[in-house]
Amino acid sequence: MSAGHEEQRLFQEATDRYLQRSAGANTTRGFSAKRWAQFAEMGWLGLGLPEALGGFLTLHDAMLLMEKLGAAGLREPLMDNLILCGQLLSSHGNAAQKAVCAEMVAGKTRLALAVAEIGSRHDWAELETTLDTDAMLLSGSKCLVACGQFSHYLLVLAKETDGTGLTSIMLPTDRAGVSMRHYQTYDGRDCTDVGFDRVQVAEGDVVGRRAGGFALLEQSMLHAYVALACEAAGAMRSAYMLTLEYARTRKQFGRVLSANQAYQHALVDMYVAVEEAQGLAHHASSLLQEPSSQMARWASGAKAFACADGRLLGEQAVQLHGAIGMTEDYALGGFYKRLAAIANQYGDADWHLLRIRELDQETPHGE
Amino acid sequence: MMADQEPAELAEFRQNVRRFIAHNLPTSVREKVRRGVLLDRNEIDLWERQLVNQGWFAPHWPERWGGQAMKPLWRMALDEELARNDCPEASPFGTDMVGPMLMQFGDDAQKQFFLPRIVNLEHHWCQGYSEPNAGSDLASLQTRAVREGDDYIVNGSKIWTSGAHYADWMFALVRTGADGKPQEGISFLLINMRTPGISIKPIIGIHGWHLFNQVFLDEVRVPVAHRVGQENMGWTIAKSVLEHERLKLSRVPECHRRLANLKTLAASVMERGQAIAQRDWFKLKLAALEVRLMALEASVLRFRRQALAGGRLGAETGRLKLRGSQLVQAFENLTVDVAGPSSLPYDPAAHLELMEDAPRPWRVATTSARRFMSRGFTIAGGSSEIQHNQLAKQVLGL
Repeated sequence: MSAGHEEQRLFQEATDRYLQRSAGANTTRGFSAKRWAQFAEMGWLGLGLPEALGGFLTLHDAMLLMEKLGAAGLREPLMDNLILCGQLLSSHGNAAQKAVCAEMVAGKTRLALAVAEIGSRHDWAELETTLDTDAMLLSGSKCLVACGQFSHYLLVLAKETDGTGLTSIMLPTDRAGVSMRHYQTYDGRDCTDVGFDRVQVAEGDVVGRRAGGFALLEQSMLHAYVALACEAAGAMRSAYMLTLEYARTRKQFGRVLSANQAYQHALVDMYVAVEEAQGLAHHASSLLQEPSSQMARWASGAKAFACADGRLLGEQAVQLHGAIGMTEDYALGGFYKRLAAIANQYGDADWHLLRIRELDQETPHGE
Repeated sequence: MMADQEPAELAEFRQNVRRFIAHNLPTSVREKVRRGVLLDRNEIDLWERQLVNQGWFAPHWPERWGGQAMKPLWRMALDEELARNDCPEASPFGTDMVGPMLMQFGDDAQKQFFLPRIVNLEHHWCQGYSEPNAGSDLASLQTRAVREGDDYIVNGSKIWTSGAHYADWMFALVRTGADGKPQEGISFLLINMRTPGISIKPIIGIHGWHLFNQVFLDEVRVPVAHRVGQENMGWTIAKSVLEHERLKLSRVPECHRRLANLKTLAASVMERGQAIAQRDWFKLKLAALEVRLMALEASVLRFRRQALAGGRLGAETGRLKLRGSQLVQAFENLTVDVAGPSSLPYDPAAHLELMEDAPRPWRVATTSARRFMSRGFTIAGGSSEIQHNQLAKQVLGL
């Protein structure tokens, strides 16, 4: 236990040192291969994955890293690689797929989750992409796939044409019939829409068992909600700190902004929101270690809070700054836009609130 | 817009405006405005020329300066119809700001040179008020004008200057005196943007659009003849606001436009086998915004009755600016939430053209940029904080 804590402490110190060194890059756009190599060198890509694949520490540590990533404003697809695809392959992949996971940990291979579709909105399991059950041909399209152009493998979710369920499949991005269209999101992430035109799939490409994809992805989605809640908590803190600093130094009407009671109260509200967001995200993350009936509830709670209060905090930070907060060159915009994007990524606030009510119906109170 | 107690001639006038728009506004421009796609300068110019030809570019101006002395209520109705029917927003700097200020405070030479060129669109104007260290606290501005013979030598910098990159002239507040209260040492100058020593740096907003600029003035020579009013009297001039402008700040017509757009979008996006428009969560959220809009409209109507009865509109109209700007932001956020993950893709080019054939995420790519732009509505033109201060002081007497 204490050895684990020591390892965790050393890792966090090294991470903080690295992020401080690269400070100023807090309004980054897009993917950087150079940074990715540094991530691999520092061991980030193995967080929470089995030692046999080169991993170390726990999933909770990976979530804490997401928070630091949010605070630093980095846009690399860590969530997709180590938290979504990494966890899926290491837990459910066959030997070849686990080998790919180990290559990811080493920084040689990158993975992307291809689940989202335009028509499914936040209900990720409502898919149109199909796997022809007999011929094993994959057809359909996915959107908002993280960094398709920099990825070597896609983890795709498709529904079996015989109606037995959803199947998850790992495919190399250069498989015949796979087409891509790349763009950036407004918060500066590289994204890709992917088309599958009768792509031939082999039995060995299936992750887990045929028609068993729903349960696997249900777990991944909980990871995604918590990872984004953690990232949002980090971005909220940075937006808050920038605003606090600005209010302390910017003078108007002969005094600093923070001398106004209206500003003090607004800053206190921001501070409370940051602490609550972090508390929720950390608790949700700690629950992921040992599956319980409360896990999904906390994951959606943390995400709903991140969506609603994170976006609101970003808006308030811009308001308290004034016009400077509206400019692309000032760091705040990057944090606000990331918070705005998280509010519509993997379920928005209302979707998660409804989800909590649905969970109540599925699992009566008291377990 | 609710239209109780409107004289019959006014209703008829509204009809005329709508007919004019139907005949003269190109469908492509109308569609761009409806969807919040950026217009290019040329499209705005062409539309403003149509208004000039119709006499509706500066209709509130007196006839001797090329207007038709239109009464405030008529002007409000005109503005409402233009906004409700997706017309490009005309720049207010010439016709509503510097023009009326010149009529009240300018000398004959200034009136005769500038007013006809505003009303015939020969000059485009920008506003040089804010500075890097003088935003809401405008009176602390530092750009200095020092008298040298028949000229002022101006040094300093203006910021958030909308449209400076295509303006011919700037009306600016500059410091000419250091004594007394900060407001007392400010003069109002008209500066030719082609004067040597002026440089313009574009400022890109968080929405990715170039709307603002920083204007640098380095030893810029401005003839004393281009000062409006007495030296050190600039603050009084800048404070004069047109009455009809006050009701326009409610943004009621553009909220209606956003409401209509939102309904269209919600009818086209599906969730769990239903159009979003049919989903309970959406119905409640939309209705809540509609009620806020109704409250705002009722307020505008009350102020309008007051104006109709001959009353003056004062500081209490500040609540229209406060609530209207917040309501626009609420509409924008709900629109983004309806678009959902499709609102995430961003391509600067997507804002410049309609993308009928594009895949769906790209067709709604402008939603996010419009939403980010609307954050500025509670900051620009008297921030919400300033509105609160003024309402507290002037209306509540605190």
